[in-house]
Amino acid sequence: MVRLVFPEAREWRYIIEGLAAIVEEASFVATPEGLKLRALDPGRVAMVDLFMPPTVFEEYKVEAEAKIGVSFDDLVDVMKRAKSGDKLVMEVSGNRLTVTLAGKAERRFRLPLLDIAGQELPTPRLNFTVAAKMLSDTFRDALKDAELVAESVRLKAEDENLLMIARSDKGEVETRFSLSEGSLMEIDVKEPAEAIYGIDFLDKIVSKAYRVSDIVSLRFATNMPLELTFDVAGGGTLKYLLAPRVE
Amino acid sequence: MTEVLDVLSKYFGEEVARKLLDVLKIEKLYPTQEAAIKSGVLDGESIVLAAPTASGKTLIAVLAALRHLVSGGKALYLAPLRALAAEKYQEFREVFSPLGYKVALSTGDYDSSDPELGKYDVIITTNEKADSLLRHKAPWFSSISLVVADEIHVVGLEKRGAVLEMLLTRIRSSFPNVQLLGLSATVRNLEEIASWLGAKPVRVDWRPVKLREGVYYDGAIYFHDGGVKEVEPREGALVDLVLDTLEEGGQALVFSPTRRAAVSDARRVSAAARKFLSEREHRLLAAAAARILQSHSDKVSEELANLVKSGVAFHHAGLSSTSRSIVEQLFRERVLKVVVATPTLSAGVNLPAKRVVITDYRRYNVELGYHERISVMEYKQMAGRAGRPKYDLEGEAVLIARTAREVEFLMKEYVAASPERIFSQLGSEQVLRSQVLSLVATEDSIKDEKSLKSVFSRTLFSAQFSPLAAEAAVEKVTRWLLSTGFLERTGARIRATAVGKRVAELYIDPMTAHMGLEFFKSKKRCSTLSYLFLLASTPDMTTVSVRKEDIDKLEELLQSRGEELPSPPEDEVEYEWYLSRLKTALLLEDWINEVREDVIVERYDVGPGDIYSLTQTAEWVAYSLSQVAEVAGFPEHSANLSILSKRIKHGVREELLELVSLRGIGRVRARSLFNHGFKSLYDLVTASERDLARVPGIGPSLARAIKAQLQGGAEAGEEREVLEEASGQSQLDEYLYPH
Repeated sequence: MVRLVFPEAREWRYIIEGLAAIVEEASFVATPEGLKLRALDPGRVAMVDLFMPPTVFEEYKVEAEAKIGVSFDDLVDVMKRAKSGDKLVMEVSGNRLTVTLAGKAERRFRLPLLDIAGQELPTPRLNFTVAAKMLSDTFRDALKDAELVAESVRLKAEDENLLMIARSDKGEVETRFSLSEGSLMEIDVKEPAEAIYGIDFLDKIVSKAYRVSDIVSLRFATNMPLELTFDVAGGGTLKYLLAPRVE
Repeated sequence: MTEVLDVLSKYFGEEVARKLLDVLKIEKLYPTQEAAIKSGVLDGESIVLAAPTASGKTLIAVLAALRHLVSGGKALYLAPLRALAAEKYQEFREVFSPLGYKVALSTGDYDSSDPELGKYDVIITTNEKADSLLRHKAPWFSSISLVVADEIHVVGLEKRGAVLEMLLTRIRSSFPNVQLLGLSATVRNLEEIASWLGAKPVRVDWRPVKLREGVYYDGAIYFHDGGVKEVEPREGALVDLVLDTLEEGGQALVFSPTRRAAVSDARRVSAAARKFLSEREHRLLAAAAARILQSHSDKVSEELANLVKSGVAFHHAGLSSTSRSIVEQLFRERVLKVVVATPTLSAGVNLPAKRVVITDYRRYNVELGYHERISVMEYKQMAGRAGRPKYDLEGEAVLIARTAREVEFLMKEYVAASPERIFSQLGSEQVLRSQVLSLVATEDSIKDEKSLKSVFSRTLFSAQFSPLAAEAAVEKVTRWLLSTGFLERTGARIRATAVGKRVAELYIDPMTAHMGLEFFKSKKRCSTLSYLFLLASTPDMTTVSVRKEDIDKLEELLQSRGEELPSPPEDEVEYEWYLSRLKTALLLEDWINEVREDVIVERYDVGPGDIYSLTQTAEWVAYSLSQVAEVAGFPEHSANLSILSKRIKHGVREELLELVSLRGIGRVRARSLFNHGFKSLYDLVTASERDLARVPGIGPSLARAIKAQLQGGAEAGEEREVLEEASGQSQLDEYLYPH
């Protein structure tokens, strides 16, 4: 038996949409320590890693570790029905997941559980040399600019600056984030770094996850994956890891 | 630079020459290339060029082809193996696409004339496929103006050699104006081969990297040039030789006589090799291992994945094609440090390494069941892989001797020896009966024994063994074809019967068809196993070998299902063959009854690559026999075999045949759909996309693709694959798996 109650269904909707940006189907793992989901996109370019501790839930009842395999297309459709002020109740019994949206009326959706095979993904251990923090919106805007000319962006960190450069025959767009102008909230450059990432993935991620958190933390290193972390209010993290493009 | 430009401008004009240099990225011509050009290869001269591997032969073919294309001609490129054809296709496309010419690769289906190939400027194919195209009278054949025969020395190989010999003979006599470019390893009788083809022999011994050959014994390599190199003794000859190379920053390519030896040798060097990996290499290898396991989860792939993590791999025909290409790519990128291969690799793939180690001068002949000596030519081919252009100053090829006496033997018989003469293999009856039937069935000019013999008088066989020998062999085979009803005679005139014509087109051994016909005549109805045993008994099939521990199980089966099979022969050797056919038939039966691949690997002691090649051949033989049955008036057998061939192709029970006709649906997913109530295409048409997506193994995107296919929609899946290939996007696996 698993029973989870989350106070604000709308917030869950954004988290689910953030997951659906990367995966089509995946399993949540409910354990006494919290609810987790770690999955790769089908092309194995990006990974999403969600962790929600019991404290963010109004009620968190997990008797034994349980796998909750879902189709995210379905789940997103259900979550779109959430109205402001709705509470979310998720229950697993047998091979069904019951999602209840409790507001003025109580609406109950039953989804079949999917049996999703696949090996467990390891916790990535990467040595990032750059860490930065900024408003999700700032990052999102910069991506929208870059998208006008190219399919990928080069992230470059040196001194106290972070640069996003997009280049193609159509032109060049460069955005500079810095502490002094206030576009960066924090930056720590252990070593200058530079790497290229596909805009399609960045955009998919950021255009959904910016609603989960106003602030995004970035970490990367030269020709290494980019980690984007969005903190969920009240605890919990929604993290992404994106493989670089290689020249 | 200006020098190459001058040379190329002379043939192609300055504008094209500049473009060409831009694409080719070369700065000067190799001596091999200069010699070929000097011999007139770009002036339309037919030549046979013998030169070491990696000495720039492909570029000569590229230039010769371009010479024909600019004046409206067409080039046909013949390779002895599919893997090689695919490799050349890549290389040619890279050069010719930017210049606006179209390159096609055609290696599959032997029962088609592929008329659409006519639209391409360069056609790359295997010898066998080209032979079958000639039999189907492919209409575009007459517009070919250049034929490149790569690895032309395979003319001397059993079975496959004769196909190439007849193919070239027929091309020469049917299209006398075609320019011929033969590319060969070093052979002793180059002049003889060239004169058979009416071409100029060109011999170049230049290599881009210096090669030192030697023999290792007891702590030292004795090189043929007189040098001696001490090798620190640590763990035995092989490991010491590999360590020595890795310490110098090189890679090692090891040849072992059998698959089993290749695996155990790889295991033996893995502990030593591991120490030479950088952190990045560890990561890349762990990711590659994960990729191997993702594609196949049988015992062979697991063993390979395990070794790959240590920077070592084995390579033999039992590997799945995914595994094979992962191994080849990693070795070329220098991430894998050691590859241990069976000698088949030396012919197939170009994987140069700083040091080549040959552990045994003998090789196990699976068909005959004993160790035979490798030829000098094979040795030279293996040794020639030593030395990587751009990375190594010189390459070393080392034979391992077990005794002091063997040092001298190996030095004299291999290192210092020159390669054997190449002999025609056309004397083999199996090849002759197929070729004679094909000539009579498809060449309008062949009307009687006399015209038939005149074609054979132009073969290498005739030149080497006297025209009389050729005539006698042709007569004997013709008699057999007449007696079996594939040919018929009226007066002096010989003609192929309806069945004979179809057999020639199907590209099977007439003996296979004959066995099929005898079987059809003797049996009205029969079980699937009897059909499978028939397939396994034909000369076109390969069979799996029987281990001691198999015998009890096979004999038990003979007790219980003996009535489905012909009675076993008395003769001991024949009996062994019988058992291996039975084992092969049982493997195929498991396959079409949807037994899991990893279980088959375990149960029959084969690799996933073996299952692939066995089922491919069996599908083709079953299809061909169903066609023969139809023409010969056995409709029921024809229908049964046709279904059987489809079941073999997909590895499924009959009830799934409808489902597997969809793209993206293999045996596993089809079974999953079926078990969830989607039993036919009709069920899929009426199902909602959402319901399909819920079936395990399907998921939303495949569900969408299925629906699109059923509505005759776009081939979305394939497009996506191409895009991903082009982007340079790396995968996360590389970074996720720490060592």
